Amino acid sequence: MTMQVIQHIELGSAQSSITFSNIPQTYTDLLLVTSIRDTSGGFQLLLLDINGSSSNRKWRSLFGNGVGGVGSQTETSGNPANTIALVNGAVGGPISVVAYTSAQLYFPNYSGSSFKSFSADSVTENNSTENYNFIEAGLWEQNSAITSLTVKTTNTVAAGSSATLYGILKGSSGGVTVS
Amino acid sequence: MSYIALANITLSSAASSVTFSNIPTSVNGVALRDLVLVIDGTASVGINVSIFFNNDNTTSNYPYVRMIGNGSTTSSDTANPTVIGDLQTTRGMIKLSVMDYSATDKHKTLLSRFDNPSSVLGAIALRWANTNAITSLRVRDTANAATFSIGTTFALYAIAG
Amino acid sequence: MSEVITKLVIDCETGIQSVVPLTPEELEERALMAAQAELDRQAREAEEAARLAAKASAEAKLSALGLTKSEIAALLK
Repeated sequence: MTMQVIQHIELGSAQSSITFSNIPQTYTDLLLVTSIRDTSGGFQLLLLDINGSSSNRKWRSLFGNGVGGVGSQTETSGNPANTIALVNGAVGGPISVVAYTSAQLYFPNYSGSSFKSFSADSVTENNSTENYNFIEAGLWEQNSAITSLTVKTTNTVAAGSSATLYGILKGSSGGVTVS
Repeated sequence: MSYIALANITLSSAASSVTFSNIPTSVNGVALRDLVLVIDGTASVGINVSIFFNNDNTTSNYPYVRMIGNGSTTSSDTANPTVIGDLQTTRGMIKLSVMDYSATDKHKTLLSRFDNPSSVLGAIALRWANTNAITSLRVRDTANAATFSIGTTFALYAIAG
Repeated sequence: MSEVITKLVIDCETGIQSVVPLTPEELEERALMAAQAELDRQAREAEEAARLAAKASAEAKLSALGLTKSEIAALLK
């Protein structure tokens, strides 16, 4: 099967982070799909550690917030090196309802022996006028295979947040040729 | 099975283009609806990457709209038809979906995300102004001068429906 | 008794989920990050509020000069 669920988790109580460890090295790409909320008020940060580390990262982002705010940042912009997106926090400030941020991260060739690219897309829809559509180009500047992924927020990941890790396996079928 | 791997290649030498041919509309009796192409790697110089379907090289048949950020500024344009994203000399990726590729009653639409952490990132919506089913796709440097580098991977998948 | 902050670890090979207390180093890192993030959040919200206020002020001044709403909208597009 080309695309399989490796693991899925939904938090029954708040946690500081969710870690997928011992990721099998038998797939080609990884897809991490999350529905995340922070326990503190306002928009907070979604962060990602790779193999337990927030270091050796480059990223570039592009975002809009629906009320005229647009921007593009890098890992030198002042946010932590392991920033992935903005997420909804608890009700307060610009957040008017309890709502989870949807974020999707794609890691091609995660088990290879060169630097690892990844692509992140997220939205913080929360029924108010200010929301963020945030996309990011990421690079983990290590040649090691990715064996663990840790998702966390600025403060604490709220109960009800979920994360699903999929493995995608390249292959051939249908007589398609490539040259 | 709804997500099907069709073909893939890891370049063992630099290549000016990569072509996927004989794309079927079904596999083992399962009708295929959408295509997903994942490119991961580098180019010999920073390039725009173009896509062409079924040997249609008429660029005006591929109108597009792009939003792009470079880490400090943002912009949007429609200036470069056929383009699906950028690749640079440092590692980046392009991931795109072609909706209803096997349909014969509509133009084909494509959504692409391109990610270069040391350069630019963005998203593109593109339309191929042709109602034929897609049977082949080719990607290359828009300027047709540079090459995809050794080690760059191209993987094509189909989604059944 | 103070709350014990924990993290969830899922072993993808076995499926075993472990709830693990944070180490003192992890707790300190969290505290530092949270403090900085709060400053960043306040700065972000202040910047957005200032931008909206400046936009409203500009629209009011343009209106006072005699521009219509559609002219102001076209100018600010």
